[in-house]
Amino acid sequence: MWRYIQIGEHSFIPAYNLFVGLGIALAMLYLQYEKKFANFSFQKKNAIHTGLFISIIFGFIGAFTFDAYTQGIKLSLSNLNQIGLTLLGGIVAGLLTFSIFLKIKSIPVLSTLNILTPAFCISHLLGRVGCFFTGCCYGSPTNSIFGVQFPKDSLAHTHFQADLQVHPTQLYESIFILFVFLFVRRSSINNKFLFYIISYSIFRFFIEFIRADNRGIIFNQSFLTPSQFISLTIAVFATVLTYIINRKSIHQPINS
Amino acid sequence: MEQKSISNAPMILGIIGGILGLPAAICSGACAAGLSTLADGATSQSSQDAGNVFMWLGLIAAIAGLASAFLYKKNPKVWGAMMLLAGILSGITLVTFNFLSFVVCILFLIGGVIALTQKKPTVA
Repeated sequence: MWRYIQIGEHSFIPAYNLFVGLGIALAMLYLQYEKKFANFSFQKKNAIHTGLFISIIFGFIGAFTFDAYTQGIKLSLSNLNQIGLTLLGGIVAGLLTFSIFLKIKSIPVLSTLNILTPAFCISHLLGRVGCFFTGCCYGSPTNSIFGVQFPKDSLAHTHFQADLQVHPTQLYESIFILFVFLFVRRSSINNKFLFYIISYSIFRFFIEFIRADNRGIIFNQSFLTPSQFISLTIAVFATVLTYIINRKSIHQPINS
Repeated sequence: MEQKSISNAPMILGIIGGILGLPAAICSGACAAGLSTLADGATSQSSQDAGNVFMWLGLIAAIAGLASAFLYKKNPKVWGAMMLLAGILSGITLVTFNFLSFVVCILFLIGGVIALTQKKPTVA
């Protein structure tokens, strides 16, 4: 729970950015050694690298924009320090960008995403570890053995104005994604990416009930948090897509 | 077909430097704005302008470094040079006494040098 990693007396490195950077770097490193990716042509690998770079930029923009919208903050350079990042906003923006890029380059979208899924899991879980160190995305108070007490200058302490133990929802999510990573690495299921997206969306929908940080508002209603709304939409969309793909593969003629 | 591989170090260094470069840019802008208020005849507008200049410099360095990290395997010489340039741009923001910019500068410079000394991947 160190928001800033102190180096010397007056210097520090923000823990969140360090872990996000490590996550993306390790994900890219994993990808270089992933068998199916390594067998791609030089041009295809470069195209995917380019697509990933562009989608990371648009992912950050999407995460900022969505957070500003749900928090009711006007998006401008002078307000940047007031705006956080919303993961699901970033995922949606990044994935859309990447898919459009792959389509333009005539690279199969879903099969490429399936190959990249373990790498996505690595960056996702390390990003959430970064959230834990920063103290953001915290859960509601709990007396269970999983409760974690954040330091006095943390966001959770500022929110509750007391030394309370809260659910470390960041770690719950990291552990969940770790299991997803181990599963997709070893399993032989065809639609690894859709499995990741559906399982994460369902997990995220339910964990939102024990999230205590400011969730924001979407479409002027307070029944569902913005992340629950997006999770539900993604889960439904991905489930329908999985069904359509499975139907297509069942009805494909068998070549004798 | 066999392809000679090149080091992944510039990619790792560039990505970490690029992601750390984003808060470094914001810090540089804030530090520059703060420092410029100490100058004789400084106004709030001139302080804000100084802050914006250094913030944009830092942001451009971060994005250039990140792009170099992802694209350097395509052409190590060109993108290695771009990463060195990103390191120099980040180094310019060191005048704001921002330690994070120093870390980013070092990461980009080391990554750039390693990339420049790589041979272009060949397909045998």
